[in-house]
Amino acid sequence: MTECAIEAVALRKSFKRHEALCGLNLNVPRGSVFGFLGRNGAGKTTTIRILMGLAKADQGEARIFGIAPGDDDSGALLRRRIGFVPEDKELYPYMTVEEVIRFSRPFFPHWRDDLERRYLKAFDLPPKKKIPELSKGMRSKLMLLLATARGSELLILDEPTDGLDPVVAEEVLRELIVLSSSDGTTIFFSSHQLAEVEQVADRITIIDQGRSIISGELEDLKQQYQRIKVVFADGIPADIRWAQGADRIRNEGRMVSILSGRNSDEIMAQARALPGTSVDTYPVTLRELFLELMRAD
Amino acid sequence: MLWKKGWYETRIRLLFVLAAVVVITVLTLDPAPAAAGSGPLVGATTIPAMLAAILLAGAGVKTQLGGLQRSKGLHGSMYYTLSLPVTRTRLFNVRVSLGLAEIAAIQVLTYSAILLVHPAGVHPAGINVALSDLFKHGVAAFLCVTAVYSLGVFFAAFLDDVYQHWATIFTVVGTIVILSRVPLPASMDAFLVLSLASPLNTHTMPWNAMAVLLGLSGMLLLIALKIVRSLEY
Amino acid sequence: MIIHVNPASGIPIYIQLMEQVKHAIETGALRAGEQLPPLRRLAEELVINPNTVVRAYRELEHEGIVEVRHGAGAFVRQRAAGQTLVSRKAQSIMQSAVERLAAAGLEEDAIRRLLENELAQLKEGLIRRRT
Repeated sequence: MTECAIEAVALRKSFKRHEALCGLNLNVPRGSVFGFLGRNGAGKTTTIRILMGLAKADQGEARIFGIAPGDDDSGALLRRRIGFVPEDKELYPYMTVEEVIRFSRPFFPHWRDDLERRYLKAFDLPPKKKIPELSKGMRSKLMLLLATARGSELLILDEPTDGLDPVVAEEVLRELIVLSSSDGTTIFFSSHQLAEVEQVADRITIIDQGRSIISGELEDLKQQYQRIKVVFADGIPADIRWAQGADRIRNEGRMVSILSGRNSDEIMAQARALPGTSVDTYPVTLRELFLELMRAD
Repeated sequence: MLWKKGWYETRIRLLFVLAAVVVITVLTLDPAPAAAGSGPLVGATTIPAMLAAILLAGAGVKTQLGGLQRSKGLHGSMYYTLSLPVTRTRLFNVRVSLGLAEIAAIQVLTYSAILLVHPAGVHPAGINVALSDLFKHGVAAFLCVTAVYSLGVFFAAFLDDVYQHWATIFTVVGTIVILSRVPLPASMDAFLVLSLASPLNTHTMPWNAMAVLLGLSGMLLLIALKIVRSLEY
Repeated sequence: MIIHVNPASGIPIYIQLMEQVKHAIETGALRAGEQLPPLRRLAEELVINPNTVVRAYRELEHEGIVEVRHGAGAFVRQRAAGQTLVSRKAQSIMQSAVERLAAAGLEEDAIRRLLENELAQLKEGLIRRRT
């Protein structure tokens, strides 16, 4: 029983003229709810495609439960344990809700009838309706049903609440929490909805230009990063050199704004030791952290 | 099950093609005496069947396994298919087997239709055609159509639906033209097999030609499978 | 017990939970021996990660405020009730200090800054004493 649900080491992938992944590392422990964040084009979808065996990395290794995803028999067996909801939540246009469920069931020996029934009821999915006639929210919920009722140990979700209204999004998130807490299902999801990630994720990775730039437990990162604002009554001294760990330093008028990732205490002490300063610290939200990290590039 | 899904996706095309083939066959078999040889019979049975093969080949090898087609919403669903715990090889095999079964069904039904319409002696000119010869012809024709189907599958692995059709037709017509200029030994020439060298005339199985067709089909299908397995999304 | 958290406030959720539990104990909404909301139910209700609740309860146990009984849940400790006595005293000290500063003409932000500076000095003083 490996501790790691997903492990990626130094993944590289290029398309014709574009290097999508430049040495990406990923470590998703079993049972975690893992938020995979990044701008559009940062490499999130490429990474997910590689994890699902839809594409192959040029270099590096990816493993799910210790097994390499791919088009061989072991890769096929691996997919019994993974539920996938892609960005385009589309299914077979000629099937109804219950037909696609009936079609899918025989592939999975560990199909969970209880989850199937639970979601049909909780999501209010009309069994006899044809899939193209479902609303976007319904289709997302149906895909979630198909991904979880197969008895998966890991869910890979690409923008699960994309295009959903807040009520439906909350329903989906709640079901993910329930899955995580009652079944220990590992949930790996990419999202632009930073507020939602902040709510449900316990670990995150932020990816930019094909590389992971920050990684770790969300609560730790939020405690670690502080915004320190120093106001100099007589103007900012020109020769000031801030202690190590002071990032994203911005000078504006008489105020210096510092985003510190470690030893915030040291920086604050340094600031207070300077003459004529007034020092305040503010906690940093995930959104601020994300924007700040992107800004420097 | 994959078979049922494949059936769902091809059955409309199949029914349409089947109806067309049967109707064309019966209509083109005119009861008036024709030239010697079984030309009309052969033409009537083979050409529509080949058209059927081309259409069926397109219907789904690519769309089932994904690819460049963005029409009809089948494109998005391919992610779901590929997330199923089956290898692409199995998806391919089921699809191709189903296609071949459908072709065989078309053949059988066509010949049955002919026998129904002209029960007393098959050939309209009154020349009796032995059922065993008809059977041999049918098998040879089936292999010929299989070769065309394999060609269609091959093209479908990397071309869009429409282009695949044209590419296949073009290749088949091109082959006929080339073969008419560059003669092969009669036993190997697949197309001769269906006309002058047909078992209906020779009363023997054209083993060489059949071997060639079988080999060709196998090769085309294997290459198509390789291509499909290497596709990335 | 009604708990709510603001995931986007920048303050780690588990700290928010801890604060709310402590506040509930201080105001008497939660009494000694009473059970905290069950872990999974709270996570599902608030739609937050269960590990966050685990961490909050664990930290509260570490601070001696609750006792986690395996399989049964988290319960408010007897001592915690005693601690509220200290907090009530502390509350009255703080109340009079703020009143006096406000009477001296200081605004809310000024008072806060003064307090934070003093806390920082306290922390540094402690650090210096240790090293």
